[in-house]
Amino acid sequence: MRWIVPLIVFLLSGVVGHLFVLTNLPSFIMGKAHQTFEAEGIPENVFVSTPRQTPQTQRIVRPSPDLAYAICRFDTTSGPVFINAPTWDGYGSLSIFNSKTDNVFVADLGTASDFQGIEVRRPAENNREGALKLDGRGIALIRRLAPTQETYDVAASLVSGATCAAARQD
Amino acid sequence: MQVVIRLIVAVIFGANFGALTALWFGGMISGGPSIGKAIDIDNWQSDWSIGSESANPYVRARVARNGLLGLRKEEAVYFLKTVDDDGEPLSEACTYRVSGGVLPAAWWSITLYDSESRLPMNEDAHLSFDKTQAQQSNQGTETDWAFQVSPIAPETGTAWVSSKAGGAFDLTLRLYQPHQNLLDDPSGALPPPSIERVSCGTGAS
Repeated sequence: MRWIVPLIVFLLSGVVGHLFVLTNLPSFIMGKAHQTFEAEGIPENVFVSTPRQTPQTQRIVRPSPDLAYAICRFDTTSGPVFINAPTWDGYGSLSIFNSKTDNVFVADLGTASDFQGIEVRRPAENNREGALKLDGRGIALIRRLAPTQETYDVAASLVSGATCAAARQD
Repeated sequence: MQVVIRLIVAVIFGANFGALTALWFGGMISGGPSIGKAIDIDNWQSDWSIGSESANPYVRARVARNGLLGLRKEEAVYFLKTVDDDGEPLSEACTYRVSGGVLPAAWWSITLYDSESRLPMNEDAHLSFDKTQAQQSNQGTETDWAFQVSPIAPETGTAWVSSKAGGAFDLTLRLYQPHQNLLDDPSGALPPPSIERVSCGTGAS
């Protein structure tokens, strides 16, 4: 009988510990990713082209060696951010991830796309129509199909035409 | 006093046990579950909630650990396979023939990753096989494509993905801009690529 209460406390503590770790893992891992990118010199509010993905250059899990990536770290805490990228003749996408690793937005960057960019704002702000609500830190990621060095070079040259910058505040 | 000590010990051990099980179910501890198994087509496993806000906490944690920055299903779907057609774990010690036909997506690729979800640490520069290669090897169409997975390059001109330094590896099939019929009926729309074990070590299997 004297062990019943400790056993119940053990089980309840286990459930609390389990749920706490489980729900915080994605944010923790995303935070580590931000730290890694920052340590590698990727500043906020600018797209940076990553090297071709090889065993020697990989920095995140399961990179695709067939794609050219460009990353932008941003934070809506200091104001809205406008994100855009040029289309091209091939497969491409621009995706946005929140601090919980959710893919909250994706746009096609193929030639048939009419994507003109997206504004990202905190949910608490006076939101414009079409703006994406995202609170705090996020990552924008451009993927372009580039299985050869030649196509990678073309994809990398387009990064300078992409935008990830502070937007005008109301 | 003893009661208080028992309760404190119960809290400490309980919380740690709960945390460890969360790390295991979240794929943070070796041997834990992989990304998702809600969809299983001949052991090609996936979960349509990857990247989605509707993903349950377990899928969300596993994706964060093993597939960070994965796209939601409308843009890309991911299938992972860790065993060959006979159900044996994929191993660097063996040679495999991977083959298939037309896949329901705008573009696709099959990439080899080690047990830590990394590209294997080799310098062979043969890390994946994709739709473009399938078309090039088959006169512009992607029907009846095949490639070899092995730690050493094949002597013939066979398409090759290197498993050198891959250890106990997996193959990840990415389907970009998947066709709607795949999203609606995955097992009916996806002809699963075959992974045939050709030989292991010095002897044929």
